[in-house]
Amino acid sequence: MGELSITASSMDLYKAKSRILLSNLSSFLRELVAHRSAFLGAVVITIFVLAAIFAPQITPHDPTKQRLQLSLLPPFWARDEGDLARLEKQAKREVLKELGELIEIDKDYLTRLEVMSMQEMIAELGKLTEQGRLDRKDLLSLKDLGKKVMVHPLGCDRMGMDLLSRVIYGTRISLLIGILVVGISAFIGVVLGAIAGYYRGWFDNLISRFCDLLLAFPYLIFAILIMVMMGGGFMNMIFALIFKAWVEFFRLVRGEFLSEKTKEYIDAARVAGQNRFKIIVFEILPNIIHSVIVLATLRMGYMIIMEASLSYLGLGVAPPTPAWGSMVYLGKQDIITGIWWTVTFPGLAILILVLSINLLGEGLHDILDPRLKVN
Amino acid sequence: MRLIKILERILMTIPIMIGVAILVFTAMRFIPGDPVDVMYGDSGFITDAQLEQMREELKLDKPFHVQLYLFLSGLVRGDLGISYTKHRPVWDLIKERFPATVELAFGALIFGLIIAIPIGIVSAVKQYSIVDRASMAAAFVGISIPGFILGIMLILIFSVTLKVLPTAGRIDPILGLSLKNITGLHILDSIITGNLPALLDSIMHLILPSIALGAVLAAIVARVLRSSMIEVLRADYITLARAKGLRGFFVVTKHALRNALIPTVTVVGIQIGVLLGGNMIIECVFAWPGMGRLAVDAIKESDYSIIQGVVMIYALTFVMANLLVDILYTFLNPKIEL
Amino acid sequence: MVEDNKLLEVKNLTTVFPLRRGLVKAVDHIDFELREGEIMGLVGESGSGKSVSMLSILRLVAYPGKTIEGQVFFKGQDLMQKPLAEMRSVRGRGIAMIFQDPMTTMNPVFKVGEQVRESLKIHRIIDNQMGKSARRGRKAGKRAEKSRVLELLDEVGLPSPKENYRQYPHELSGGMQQRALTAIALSCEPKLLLADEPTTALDVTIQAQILELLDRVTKERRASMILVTHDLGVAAEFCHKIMVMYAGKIVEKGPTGKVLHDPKHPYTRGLLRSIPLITKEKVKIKSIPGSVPDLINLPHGCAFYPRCDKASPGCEEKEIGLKKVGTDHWIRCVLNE
Repeated sequence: MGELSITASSMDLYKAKSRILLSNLSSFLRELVAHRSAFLGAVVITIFVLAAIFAPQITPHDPTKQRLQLSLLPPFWARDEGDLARLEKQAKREVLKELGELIEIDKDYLTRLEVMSMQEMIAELGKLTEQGRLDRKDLLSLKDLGKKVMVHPLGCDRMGMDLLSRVIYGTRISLLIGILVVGISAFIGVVLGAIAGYYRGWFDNLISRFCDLLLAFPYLIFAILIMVMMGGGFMNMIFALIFKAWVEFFRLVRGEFLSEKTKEYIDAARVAGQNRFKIIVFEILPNIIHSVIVLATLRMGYMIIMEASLSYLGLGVAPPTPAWGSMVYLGKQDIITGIWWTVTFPGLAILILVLSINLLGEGLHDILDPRLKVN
Repeated sequence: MRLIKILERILMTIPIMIGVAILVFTAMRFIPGDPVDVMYGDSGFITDAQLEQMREELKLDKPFHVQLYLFLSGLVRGDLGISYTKHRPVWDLIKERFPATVELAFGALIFGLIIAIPIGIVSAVKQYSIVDRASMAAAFVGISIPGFILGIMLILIFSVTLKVLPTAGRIDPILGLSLKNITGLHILDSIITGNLPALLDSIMHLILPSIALGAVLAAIVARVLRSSMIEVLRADYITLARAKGLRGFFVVTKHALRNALIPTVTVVGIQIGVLLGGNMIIECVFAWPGMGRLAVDAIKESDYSIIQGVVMIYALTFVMANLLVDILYTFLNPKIEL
Repeated sequence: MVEDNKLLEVKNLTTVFPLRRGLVKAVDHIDFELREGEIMGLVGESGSGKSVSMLSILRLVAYPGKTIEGQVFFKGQDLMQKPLAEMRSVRGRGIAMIFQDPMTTMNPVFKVGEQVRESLKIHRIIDNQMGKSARRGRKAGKRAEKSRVLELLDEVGLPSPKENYRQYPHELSGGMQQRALTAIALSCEPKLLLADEPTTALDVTIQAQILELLDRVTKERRASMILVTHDLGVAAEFCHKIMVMYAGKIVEKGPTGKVLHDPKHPYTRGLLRSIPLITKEKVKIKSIPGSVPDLINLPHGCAFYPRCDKASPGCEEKEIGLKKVGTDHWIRCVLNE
């Protein structure tokens, strides 16, 4: 090799590195599919994500609509006659209410309609349509309304809010929290950890001492403290969770930087004249990013559990906004009387989502760690 | 020599504890609103002048650093202030509830370790067997389920459906009256006083909350112990132990376990924090009369001086627990430099 | 058939490792015998099966390895047939083993003295010596054990036995650790010592000391030793007979003098040639070309065939058995010079 033409070859180096990265990416994806449990986790997570995104389309009801008549309605396989009667009664009520807004009805006729069964009522409305008093399409939408109101596959909670819709909508909150908290705290932790790990000095000492202090608090206790300070609510919960979460990423990245710094390729880069920022970002960071990814995935499940816990305590998202934790809180008082569905379904949702995330995280750990060591 | 190291460690925790106190105090002072308003604002009988007087009494009119100083000096004396809603010293309130929390925490710890250690050992020794696969799968679920959900599920199954265990509380009220209060720990007290019905009843009440709180601990410890045992069992000194003619059981429990416990203990230390945090929630789920419930009720009533006190006690307990774990670690690992 | 004086007789010993890639025959039908007081050198490169042979004798081969064939007659009894409980009383007492890397062979969490004492406790040496008054003499028993340990530590040449007793392994140097391990091995007065490359992990200066120690204690006790080594010089100095292994099989065995001065097998010759000598002339070190074969895909016939400078077409066709080329001198080769 002749002279070292640095600038030109640096560019090629980056290009080569990104090509390697892309080929790594495709082989990574292949490995991910091959890893059975990680793949399962990824699939389930995707289902949840899709459910969260398309919630308005797939939920049968508005998650905050209360139908007190249907309070504590059991899931469809556990209903008795009283429940079915309630259901029908509510459906009729809503249909009639809607009907009242479409056309003029006198009170007697209304009373007669009310005592009919659902079928009879629909038949009666059919007659109205034939008489021309009711539009054909209105009739159809009333029939749909009637059917829709009866659809509560998982039952309802105390306020008559449909559980299935609430569980699906609750996915949004949980996923958002998981992604936001982990994303932001990872970013903060990585940046601070990189600086502290590379430059050391007073900055490192200061932040590390602060971390020691933060670590003296159990996680939940600390989050509670912050939330009490700032009040409840979604944004405050995110802030409270981030406040302590970044510490883990900080320590991880700092530790990795400390050990990577002693390695030879750093010296090689410095000799080649790379400035320190570039070294940090382009040399060291790619080598440690895999452990950050694994940690982020594993922490995400924990964040979701934290959110649920905080919501259960009444901090965090306030009812009636659907969040799994607060749903459990609302339902807990009734379990003594054997009403299990209000707490079980949100609980299962949390369990399955967190389980899948953990599966994915463990799979990532298996895939990423040894591979990159060979790299 | 080792004693000196231990003293060093103890001294090092003091600045942390001071830092914790300052942090909690500062956090509390940032809460919008006025404690006095919280306490008395609603009752129309009190004049503004009287409110001012109360503020003076509570020293809320003094500048921040003075309040901080008063707080810290009170802390050293064990004075945590007065509860705004209950009008009693916070310290007394906490003292009443502390044993209940301790009992629950220990229950969870004991449950967790009793389950985790044998499982970790057996899974490692019989790797890939049914026991191994099943328990690792169970452990995986254990770390994915929030404690309060597990608690509620347990109540649903065992208390509501099967009706074998009580749903809430610490002890049947009548039996509770019959129990003399010596340590505050019902199980100990009933053993000391020979009160068998109370003992049985306390244990029954303790089972479900301990499982709910200790499940995560059990899951994590089982996994860590398993993986460190697997590594340890591959070591040369294990082969030597066998070559000496030592029976397999002792090879595992005497030689391997001692070594495998070393990294495991560190993990347990971290998990105690999770235990303390989860303690609050489990106490709510099971209506357990401990510190955690006190704090949660205080949150609902905005009684900040209780919250402040409880948070600090939790944090300090955590620091102490970690200290103990560190000390235990130095006993287990002779390679720690003196 | 048991002859007098034959301490150890190994016949057809075969140990395999079923791996995912295939079956590895780590030890392939080896036969040898050892008399009382004899020291045998077991020579071979890494992967030749030396260590696994030793472990197989004591039935300590780790899963997934299994000894599937063979008999190991120790004092007339076949160890392979013994129930596990009896085997455990042979381990450490009839036959003791010393491993390669002393740092990893000692348990880091127990004190040195305690680890030596453990051997005494396992085999109830002191109890048996003092008669069965175990309950009465517990304290006396402990004291007796401790003083025996101190004697042993002194015998193996540890400088300050009392202090060493209380120390942890990591506080000792490599040589001292190996001495302590020797004390463990000797504690129950074994008749056979299996020393698996006891000096490989040590400094050169210490090596000689440890080997002399082993030699001395073996001779003093009129015990036998199998000294596993890859160093022919070591074998030359201490051993009565030498056995050379390659790819799991014995390729040459015989009295030391014969094997070293008149090696018949090309592999042995190659080994001898590759020893660097300090001479006045600059001589190129002749290494054996090629490398140790993959034990899963062994060539047919002679395993050494691909690297042999005297190979002929007949070598790779059939299995070659051990042939006698002199008194007690056997080789596995088609040549017969």
